[in-house]
Amino acid sequence: MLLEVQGLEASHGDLLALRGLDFRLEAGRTLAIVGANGAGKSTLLRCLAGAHARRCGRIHFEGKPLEGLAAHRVAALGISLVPEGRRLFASLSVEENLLLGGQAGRPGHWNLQRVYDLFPRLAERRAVQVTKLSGGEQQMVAIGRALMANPRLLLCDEVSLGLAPVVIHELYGHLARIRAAGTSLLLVEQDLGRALGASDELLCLTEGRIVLAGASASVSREQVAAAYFGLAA
Amino acid sequence: MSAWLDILVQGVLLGGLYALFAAGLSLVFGVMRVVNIAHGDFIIAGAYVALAAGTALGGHPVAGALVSMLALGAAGYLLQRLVLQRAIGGGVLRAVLVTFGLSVILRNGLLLVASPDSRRIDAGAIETMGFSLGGGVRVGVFPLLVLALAVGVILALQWLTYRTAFGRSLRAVAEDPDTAGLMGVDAQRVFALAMAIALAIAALAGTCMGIRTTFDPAAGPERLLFGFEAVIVGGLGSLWGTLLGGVCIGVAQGIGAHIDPDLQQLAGHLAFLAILALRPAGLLPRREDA
Repeated sequence: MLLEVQGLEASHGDLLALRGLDFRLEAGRTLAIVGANGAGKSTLLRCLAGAHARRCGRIHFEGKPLEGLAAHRVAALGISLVPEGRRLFASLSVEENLLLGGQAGRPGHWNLQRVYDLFPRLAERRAVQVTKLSGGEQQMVAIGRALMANPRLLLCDEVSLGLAPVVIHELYGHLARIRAAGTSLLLVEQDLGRALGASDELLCLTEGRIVLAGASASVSREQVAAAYFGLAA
Repeated sequence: MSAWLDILVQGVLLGGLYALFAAGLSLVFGVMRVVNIAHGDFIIAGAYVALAAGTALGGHPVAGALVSMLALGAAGYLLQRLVLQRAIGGGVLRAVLVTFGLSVILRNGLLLVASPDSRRIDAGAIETMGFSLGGGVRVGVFPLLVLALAVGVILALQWLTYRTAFGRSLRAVAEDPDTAGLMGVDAQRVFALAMAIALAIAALAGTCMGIRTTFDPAAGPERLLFGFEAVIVGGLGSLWGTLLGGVCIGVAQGIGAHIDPDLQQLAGHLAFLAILALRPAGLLPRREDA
């Protein structure tokens, strides 16, 4: 089992953002997490990446407990996050952002050349400050930067946010190729159709609880929509 | 005319020393957004360590400087890991108060260990060596060496920051420590190494100062002030700006001293205020702050 989460709870100040989550993910699979704003999706990803302290519960990654590990240690174990809003380093060039992602020094498939093969447009703009790139290109840098750490599990927090549909389509094509290279994915996505189409399994979160879980192929849009709005379990 | 040329040259040479005072301050501020109030006292401590180590090692000031740089570098690493790290992230004031406390402790600690007497570091013949540039301008070899060291330190910091993997982490952590952590960068280690480098430079600056002038345990805050003015005049976070800022303060002090020896320090402060009023971002502001 790649990832095993048991009874995970986390809070923002006094507000309980995650109220006891249990789920698992096998290696090589893609899990999509959907839910309304404030359902706890980003908090969950940040907990998994070690950037948000949990209140209680356990997270095992490849059998190892992640309790109390700082984000940089979790990254070294093979979990990389593409954060919401991209969070690129504006003072660094495209290439420097990518190289920074590789600083964890994990060996594996991904290196600078392979990332440039995946995103040829970034190779052309390698010396440019990231602030000068388009939104889609910035998202490519964010994904490439996370890949440079050669993660076993790649966490993507709303990679399609604020991008044009044609760019989103292109990005999801890239995610399929990343998957084919053997990386497991955990996708947080607002677009239900995208989430169902790109994943093997799906979780729906409402107010910090899992209200629906199942294989993406067997879940209907209506079921998810009902769970999404808290109408049914 | 040649008198003014001489003032200019001596001011630039003095500015090299001020740039050395300021380089570590500039680095720590640039990376951690922390103003290290104890920086001046670390410069003085560095001078004392260099004096003691140099004497113990047979009176060679270079050996003293190296020991002092290693000792303060190690102290900086531990200080950041064990003390200052706890103060980061709790607002600007917390770190300022902690380093202010450190400054008081260091000053009184030095008083206890080293007595309040003025001391200086003996560097032998190089202290009085010099050559004439003509027109009544004489350049001391040692002040020129200090200026060259300052340029070398700035060059090295520039290279470290913009050309190495460590520098990449440094800039990333300075911009967004949270995301840098997610990318596998240990921000606390980067901070500690930056503080180690800053205090090693402070030790070098202290040794140079101790050879040029006398010093005593209470001389720290004034060195901090000169260094701080150099950083602000040059533009926060800009390394070359720090060198330029040091030279500006040095030249202004030289002009002041020429008018009346009592005016030396006041002239430096007035130049600082004037530049702050005309160019609040400093002479060479960083692009993103411009």
